[in-house]
Amino acid sequence: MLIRIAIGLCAASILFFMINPAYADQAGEDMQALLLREKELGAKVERLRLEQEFLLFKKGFYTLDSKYLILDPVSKTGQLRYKNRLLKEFRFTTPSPREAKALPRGVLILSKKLGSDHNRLTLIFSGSLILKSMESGRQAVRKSDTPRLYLKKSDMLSLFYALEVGGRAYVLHHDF
Amino acid sequence: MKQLMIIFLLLSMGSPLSVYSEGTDTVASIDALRERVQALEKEAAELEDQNHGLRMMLREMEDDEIYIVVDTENHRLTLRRGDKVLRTVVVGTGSRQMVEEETGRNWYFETPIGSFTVLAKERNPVWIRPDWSYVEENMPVPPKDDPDRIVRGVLGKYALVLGGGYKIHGTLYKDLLGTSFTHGCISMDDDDLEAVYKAAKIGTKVYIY
Repeated sequence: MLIRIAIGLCAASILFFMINPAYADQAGEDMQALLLREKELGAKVERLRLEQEFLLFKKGFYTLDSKYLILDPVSKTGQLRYKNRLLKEFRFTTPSPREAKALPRGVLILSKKLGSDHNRLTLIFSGSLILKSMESGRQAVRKSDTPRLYLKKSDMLSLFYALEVGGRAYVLHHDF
Repeated sequence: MKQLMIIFLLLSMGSPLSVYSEGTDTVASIDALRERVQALEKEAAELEDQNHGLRMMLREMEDDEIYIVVDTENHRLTLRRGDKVLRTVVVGTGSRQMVEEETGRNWYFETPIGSFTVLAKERNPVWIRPDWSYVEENMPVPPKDDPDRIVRGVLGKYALVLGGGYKIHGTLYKDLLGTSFTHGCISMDDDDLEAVYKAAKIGTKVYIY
């Protein structure tokens, strides 16, 4: 009797061991697929959040009586806008690709305007981005590691007088 | 023999039990992962809906009207529709000079900054000389209704009225276009003036910065 039970259990356990790897493989594949889906969805949600942040920024300014900047670090172009109107387009350069990558993204606030003469106009955003005219800053000794963008003097002149301290800029994320 | 069989029996029972335990763990973690994925799918769908709504709202706030932008620092007027530039014009803007009368009255000739609307369109506009134009030339200021104040042919063939005495008009001093030489108005060449006049209508927005 005991021998029969033992043989039965052995057979059952052998059968279980034979089936289990297939089950484990299937579970592993499901897990991998779900992990991949989770990763993809996480990235998509992040993209959509960034897009929403930008859309809300634009919506806010469509009703405000204030000019604002939109800066695109990829195409290295900027726009001066007022409500839903484009007032001016301009190009800018960055000192190095490394600095281009280090540019802050999202909403920035114009915290300071420095302009003792037309060749040295500077706009400082939230202490994290500096806009200068090409003629002014390249040769000057860098006093900080704050990323900076260089504009043509004429463009810088326009922006300097068009924007007021407290004004906003939006640096595009380019992930959406 | 019996002892051996009992040991084998215990061993063969132990392994399936441990595998069963691992299996239930796997099922539990897959279920948890599936729940997280479902939550992310829901969040993504909600964000997509919200963003679509925002884009529609922004599109409704856009329009296809022509508008005028004046960059006083660079002396450029741009005729735009949406994000397209239709024409860029070299203009003259306010000189930022001051004229003072002996009585103490003074005038500062600056192009006003801000958002304006074309209030009227004039053909063959006349210039009603203001007091400052006499003060500037050291001439006695005539009475307000003096016909001597009416001057024809100095503002070009057309003018767009912005209010407050400011206009977009032509000029006799074409060599000075591209500089700050006016008394606050925006002046331009005849051809450009005609194009801007024809493109603009009463109500057209003018943004000066």
